Amino acid sequence: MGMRTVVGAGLILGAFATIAVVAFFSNQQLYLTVDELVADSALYPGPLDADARGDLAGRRLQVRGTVDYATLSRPGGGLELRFDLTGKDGRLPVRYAGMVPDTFEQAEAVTVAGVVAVDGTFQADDLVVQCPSKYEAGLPSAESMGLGEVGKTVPGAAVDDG
Amino acid sequence: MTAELGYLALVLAWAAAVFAAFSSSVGATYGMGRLVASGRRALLAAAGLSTVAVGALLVAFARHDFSIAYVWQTSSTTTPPFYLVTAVWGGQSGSLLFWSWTLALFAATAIARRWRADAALMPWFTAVCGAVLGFFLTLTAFVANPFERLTVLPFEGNGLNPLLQHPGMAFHPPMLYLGLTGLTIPYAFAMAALLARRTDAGWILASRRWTLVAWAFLSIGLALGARWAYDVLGWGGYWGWDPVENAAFMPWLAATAFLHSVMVQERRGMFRVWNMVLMILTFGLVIIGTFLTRAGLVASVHSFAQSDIGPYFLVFTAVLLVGSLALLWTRLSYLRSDGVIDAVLSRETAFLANNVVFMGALFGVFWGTLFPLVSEIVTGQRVTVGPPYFNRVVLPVLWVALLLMAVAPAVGWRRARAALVARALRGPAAVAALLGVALVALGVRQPVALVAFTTCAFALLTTLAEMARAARARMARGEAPHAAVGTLFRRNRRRYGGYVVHLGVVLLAAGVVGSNVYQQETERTLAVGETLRVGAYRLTYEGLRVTEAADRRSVAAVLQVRRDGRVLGSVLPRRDVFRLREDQPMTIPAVMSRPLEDVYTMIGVIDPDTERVTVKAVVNPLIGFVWLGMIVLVAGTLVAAWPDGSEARVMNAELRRLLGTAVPARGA
Repeated sequence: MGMRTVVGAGLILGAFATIAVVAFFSNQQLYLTVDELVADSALYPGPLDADARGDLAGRRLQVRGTVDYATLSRPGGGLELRFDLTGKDGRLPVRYAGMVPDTFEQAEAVTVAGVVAVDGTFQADDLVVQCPSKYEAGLPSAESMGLGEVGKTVPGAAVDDG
Repeated sequence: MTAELGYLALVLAWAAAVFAAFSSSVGATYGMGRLVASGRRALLAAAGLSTVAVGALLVAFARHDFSIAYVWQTSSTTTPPFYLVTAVWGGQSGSLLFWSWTLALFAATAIARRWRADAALMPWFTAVCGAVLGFFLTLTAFVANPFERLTVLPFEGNGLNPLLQHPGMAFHPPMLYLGLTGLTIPYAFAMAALLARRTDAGWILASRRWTLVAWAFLSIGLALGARWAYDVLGWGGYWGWDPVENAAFMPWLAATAFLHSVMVQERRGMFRVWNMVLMILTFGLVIIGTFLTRAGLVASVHSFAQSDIGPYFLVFTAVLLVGSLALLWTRLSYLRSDGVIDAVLSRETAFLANNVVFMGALFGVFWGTLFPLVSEIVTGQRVTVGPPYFNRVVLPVLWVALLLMAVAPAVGWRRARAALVARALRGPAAVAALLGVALVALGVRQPVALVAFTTCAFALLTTLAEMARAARARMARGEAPHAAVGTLFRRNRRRYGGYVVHLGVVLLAAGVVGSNVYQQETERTLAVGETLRVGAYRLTYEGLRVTEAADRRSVAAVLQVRRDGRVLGSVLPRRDVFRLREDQPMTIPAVMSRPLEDVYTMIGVIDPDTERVTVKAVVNPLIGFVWLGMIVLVAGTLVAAWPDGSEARVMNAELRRLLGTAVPARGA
């Protein structure tokens, strides 16, 4: 391969890489926890009055937190779901219209994507459930299984002789 | 007992692999034949011992030995036998064992087949494979041990996650692992060539078929994953640019680039350094991919439990990349190019362009997948990008690849004559343009779809024309049409298998464009008797149907599908509740596949009192082409990679012909 070929291919790749990086930064979404969002007055000014409506940029965000299932409601029995997403101290009311994954009801953490609406609620158009123990359950312990004794032998179950 | 036996075999396999790495490299460095021979035996022994370990785990599953944590986690007494087998690779530690086992088997196969043919390379090959295998067995034996015991003896297992109880899921992970571990073999050959200073065509010959085989497995794995997502996950799509999908897609892209650029080295002796770089890159991406999948760093449908294998992978990846590239640096003088690119219009340039395109796509995927992680570590603030980024950055590049696929086969080596290229492309280009006009007349207006479909037609026609041209040349010599095609495939499997792969890619591209650009989606809550409209279809909700089975209870919504007033049948999207995991219901979409499109349905909330149900319906045009394209692609790869004696025969025939011109044939 001649030097010119290498330089030419490198230039094309470099140009492409630049496009990719620029596209990345124009498509990126901030990914925050509820606490981080609620504490950030620029991103989350809280409920606004009608005059301030125009100031809110409506920037797309992703917010991660824990669902407060006590606040879960479906007004009108339709698709729309309302719940509070909570962090350590912060609390963010969320509205989401759409189906939730099967794992929603026992999710440890949920990430919602959308924009902060003028009334201070988060209008989500996407909801992802994160469940660290999705495919593997935590190991059982004597307490969690309700067993008093450790290493109890069970007739009928496969008993290891080793 | 089985647990102890399995663990013993595992530790011994680890010791054998580490010994193989040391013994082979010392033996090869100092020319000590006995050390080399025992290195070979050690690696073969590691393959045997890891087979015993996998066998022991299988027996533990069959006997429902819940004293082993892994067996407890991933199975139960009611798990069907088929899924007991798949549970072996269904969790973290088992999948690492499976990874090691397939790697050991691949390495042993390569050693058995090529020990004599590549006597200079094989000791180093054994050393590299031993080192990689040693790393994975270290993880399996000492960090994520699948034979670890519980402190209690549970009555019943936890059961395999219902999401994973799908035939696609049974074969998707092992196919991916086979693809990923398979790529270790060509990498090991490449490193062996550098270490042994044998950088001639030997390593290329040894590794190109292994790359094809691995590439085929990787493609099957990606295809099955896509199908599983479509059948089970229920968002109506098959590819979500999820970090873990990307983790498997990146080595696929790098290996695709390698499979193309290696042809330039075979034919012209060029791109030698570049091919080494590609091989190192491919394998580096394999390890990074495995790391992303296994270490729970990224949140995705694929994440396993948080685990502590992360740091090991990080160190291994660093050592691997730095070591391989340093080795390459010291051997640069052995990798002088035999030629230069003679003309801009040549096959060499086309392959170079192919490589630039695939590297571009790779960079786009890599940046979008890994930058969020890096940024979080460096700045503490996490940013992410979703499918829009990938679609905007990667798909246009892959469109260029499609265009190249149409043009390149018509461009000759060294210095192509523009007139010849134009003559070969004229016909297909004209037909593709006509098709474009016809599509506009039929009402297709989206520029993306028009450009993509005409490019697909162009690539399809040039590929077919190329095959037809070669067949006609044979028919001119009196062969019947079917015999001519047969001979073509027999004589040059790689070339025509490659063209079949190209046809598969064209179908796949058409399917991807159709199902993305023209996808229609509706979501509504329906009462019994109400109708939902999606595209040209009307879905009437007729009520709920409940079925009880041994392991689950299903509630299905019966949806009658009509189009143009005609009843086409019913679909029953449902929710399964497994008795062992009542807290984890599973929603199963229902699909009606029509010749040109799918009607895909899914249910959300069911109100048991009023029987109102939330229904999501998606129309996916041309999605059948996605599956068909994947099947054709894999079939083509198998044609190209199929082991046979014909290659040797062709080479012998060439040799005889060469000798024949120098020495008059006997008896003539």
